[in-house]
Amino acid sequence: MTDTSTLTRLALQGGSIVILLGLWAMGAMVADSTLLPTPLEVFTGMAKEANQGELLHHLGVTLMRVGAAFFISFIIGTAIGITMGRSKLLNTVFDPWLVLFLNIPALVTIILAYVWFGLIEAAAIFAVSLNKIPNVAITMREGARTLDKDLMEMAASFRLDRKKTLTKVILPQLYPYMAASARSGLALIWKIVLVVELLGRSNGIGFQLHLYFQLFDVTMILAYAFAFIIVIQTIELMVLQPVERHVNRWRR
Amino acid sequence: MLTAGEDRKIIIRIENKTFTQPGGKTVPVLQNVELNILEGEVVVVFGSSGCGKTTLLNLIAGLDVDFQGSIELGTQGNGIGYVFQEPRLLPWLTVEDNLRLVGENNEEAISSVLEAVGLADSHQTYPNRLSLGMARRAALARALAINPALLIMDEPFVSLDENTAVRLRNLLTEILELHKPTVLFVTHDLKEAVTLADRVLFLKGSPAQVAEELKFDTPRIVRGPEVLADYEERARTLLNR
Ligand SMILES: Nc1ncnc2c1ncn2[C@@H]1O[C@H](COP(=O)(O)OP(=O)(O)O)[C@@H](O)[C@H]1O
Ligand SMILES: [Mg+2]
Repeated sequence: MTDTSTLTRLALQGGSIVILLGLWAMGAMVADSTLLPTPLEVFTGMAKEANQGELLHHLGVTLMRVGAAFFISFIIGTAIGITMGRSKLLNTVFDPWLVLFLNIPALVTIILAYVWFGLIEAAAIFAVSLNKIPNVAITMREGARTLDKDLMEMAASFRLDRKKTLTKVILPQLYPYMAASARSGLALIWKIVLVVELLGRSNGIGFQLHLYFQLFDVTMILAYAFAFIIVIQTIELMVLQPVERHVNRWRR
Repeated sequence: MLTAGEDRKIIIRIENKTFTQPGGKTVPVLQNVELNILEGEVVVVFGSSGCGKTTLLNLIAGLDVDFQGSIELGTQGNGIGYVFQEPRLLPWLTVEDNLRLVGENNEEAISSVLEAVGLADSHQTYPNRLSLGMARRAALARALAINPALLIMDEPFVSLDENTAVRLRNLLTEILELHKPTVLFVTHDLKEAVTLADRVLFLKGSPAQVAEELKFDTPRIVRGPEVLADYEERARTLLNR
């Protein structure tokens, strides 16, 4: 991508965000109600809560949960996906399980986890992970199915050991699929984490949203929501995209 | 010589190799293919397209174990160096990392084999940025790097322009002279066969068998145009019988 096209894109997207904020501000002015604060009120509320209040604490707690659930579901989902993608038999046998787990509503897993294991941290993380594992598994299965047979034969003929075959031959072919599941994973997981917090934790963004819901404080609800969106977008830009660029550096 | 060579001989007996097509029909591809390869010998398997050459190589390399027969590779050396018809380099590894991957970790050895195939300037290059000829050379270097007991080459110079192919064939001849590996080389190009071979086996029929065999006495490096023309003539006569 050339510099000018990047600049044009940034200008267009920046402008588009400004327009959205403008529409919101106009709507808020017309409505003239505490139930629809202006963007400015939301962002000053956010800054104040960050400086003096508990926003950063709750943000941190939620991020920890997102991170834990993300890594657990990513590793387990990847292992399941690769296994099912490589073995016809296992795929046939366990495909119905995958379909079943994929279709269990997040709310049901969360409630059951809390009922069975109690309102504890492990139950919360477990419930979130269980929701995401099938998605990761299905994406990775797709990747494992399309593994290049020629390269696998090359690995076999040169007697590469299992570790080399996995890390140098198989995983690099799966990076695009991993990137896809990491991105969609991040987006899905943080939303489920909020529900988990709302239902059974005493800290985190979800808990705070619940609190401000009871107070009907829309400004703080939006302040917390946007704070988290900003953090997630930052992770996407600062972590996921650079990693993706790095693993794709060999492409022309 | 004979006794020393005997137990280092590679002995291949394919009684029967079939493929089952998607419809369920069983198609025989190879039947009673027998070949012995002496240590340091360059055997070329010649056959038309689709006659079963790649299938044979995959059996020998152990990539396909679904057949009746036996393959004895002998004991010495580091297994098989396979040069596939397409280079099959890992695109996410640089040329030198592709060599490292298959087991050669000695920097000097990597440099010298890359030098030998004329890729001294391409250590850090990703395969996507190589021309097909260069990628073929890198694949050759990879197979040579493990110092294999048996070097298998599957039409490694096909679909290159003739100049590049000639250059690579000369390069291969030099390398064969230098390292004297045992080679099984597959081609459907008669000129290529008579240029490189100590012995040519003609694969023919369906299912394919070794129909004819031709041995050449003049060493590869001193085969002039007349000798090659004579060899090619003899090969053609055999083929047309
Ligand atoms: N995996 C396979 N399944 C079914 N048929 C195959 C398979 N591989 C090769 N064949 C068939 O076996 C025959 C020999 O193929 P191959 O060994 O690739 O030929 P060559 O390398 O001599 O061109 C061809 O008719 C081909 O269609
Ligand atoms: Mg072939």
